[in-house]
Amino acid sequence: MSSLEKKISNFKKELNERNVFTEDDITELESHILDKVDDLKQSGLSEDDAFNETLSDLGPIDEIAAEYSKVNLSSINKCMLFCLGYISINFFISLIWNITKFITCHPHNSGHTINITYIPILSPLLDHFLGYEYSYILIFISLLNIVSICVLLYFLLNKKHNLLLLISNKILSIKSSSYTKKLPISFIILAMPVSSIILNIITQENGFTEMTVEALYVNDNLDYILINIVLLFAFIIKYVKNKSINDASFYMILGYLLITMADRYIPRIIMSICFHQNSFNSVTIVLLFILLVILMSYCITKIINNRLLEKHPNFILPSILVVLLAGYTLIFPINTYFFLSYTPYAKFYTIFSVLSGIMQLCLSSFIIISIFIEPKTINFGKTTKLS
Amino acid sequence: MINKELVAASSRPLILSLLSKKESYGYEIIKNIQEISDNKMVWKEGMLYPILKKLCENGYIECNWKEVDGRKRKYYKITKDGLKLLESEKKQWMEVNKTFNNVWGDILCLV
Repeated sequence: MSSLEKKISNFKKELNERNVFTEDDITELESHILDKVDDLKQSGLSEDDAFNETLSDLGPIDEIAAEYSKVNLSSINKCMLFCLGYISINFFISLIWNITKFITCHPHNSGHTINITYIPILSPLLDHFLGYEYSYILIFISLLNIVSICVLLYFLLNKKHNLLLLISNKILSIKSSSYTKKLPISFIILAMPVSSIILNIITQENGFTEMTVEALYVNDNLDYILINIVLLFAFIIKYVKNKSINDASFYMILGYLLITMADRYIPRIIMSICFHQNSFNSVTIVLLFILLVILMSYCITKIINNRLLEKHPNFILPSILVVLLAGYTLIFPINTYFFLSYTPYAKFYTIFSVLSGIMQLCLSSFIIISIFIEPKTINFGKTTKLS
Repeated sequence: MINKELVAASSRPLILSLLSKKESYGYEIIKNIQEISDNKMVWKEGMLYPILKKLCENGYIECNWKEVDGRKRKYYKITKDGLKLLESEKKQWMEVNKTFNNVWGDILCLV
């Protein structure tokens, strides 16, 4: 590789890491650089000088990235990234969870499906408190889970080898591609929640007919609450470091955290508290869930369409983060205390599982539809800063 | 040196005008602007491309990739909607120019 090719390749890598450019955008900027370097070389400059002048005339990458993010991260794309974040991160976690379960073929403890004993540090305390027996197999499973979860978090949060970057760049690029490229990606997007559901069913001890509590989403245990808290903190750190919020994986992680909160934790907190008073029936639970989904969609749409997040990052985003943090840390004690004390919860847990599964499939469908449809923006928006 | 806001505001009509004459690609557009404005309009070149992309998404211009002399370039062509937008922008600039002429008394230069 010549020196110029190396420099261009590094430049392209840097653009890719910004997570707002599509493949087309990067190729176009590359062709601009090549054309300009040729012109400058013809007028007598050396290759290095020509390249440096081209880059400085191009402008700071941060500013270019900010302008491209206004185009590439449009409202509909942000919604799509929200959903994609939830579907993909959920899929990876579910994959790890089910693979370790499959490998270790661990039977459930006396029908209880909340596997809170999977953290060896906390096991002795929790087991004593909740009366479970734990064995060295559980510790092994727990260590296996922890290692795979750490690997997953590395690939979700690392700057260079980032799964979210890969997925979001691919999805943003695919929108301007032909149908033949869109179809396989759409299939993969639909396959993610479907395979999570199927894997959960396969690895569940009693099959789909009884205790379908795990059938349609990953069981909530301490491992996953901790993953979510780690993701939340990483998200906070990323936001504090870079307040311009113009990154596709930012929206993916935010989408995952918000939708997980609404899908899994809030209904269970409500249910836990309500069940403690024995006053709810199935219909009410379903209605509550639907109401929650509507409220969540309204909040997210408001955040995206009104650019609330960009206008008031000093207020809105920290508020969301505080709510998420409070929610994630409170869910476990509230859920454990109220939920476990009420034994026939399975039926309602099942209803939530089914609704959650349906929601995942709806989110995937939304992503696929938005890949195929190109809605035109109504107003052009502010003119770009050119000089 | 021309004011930043003026440069930004004039970018869209300039791009559409150039594309209404012939199909072109990003770097060629930048070179044309420099020639036409006698190097007075200085753009941060990287900013042109998001504008072109936004115009393309809104249907005012069309884009397709072409390979010329072994180099892949994205060529842009104006559409009917783009021509309509250009006409409306032209009218607006002529109104502004008329107003300035009334105040400053110079000869009308936009024909």
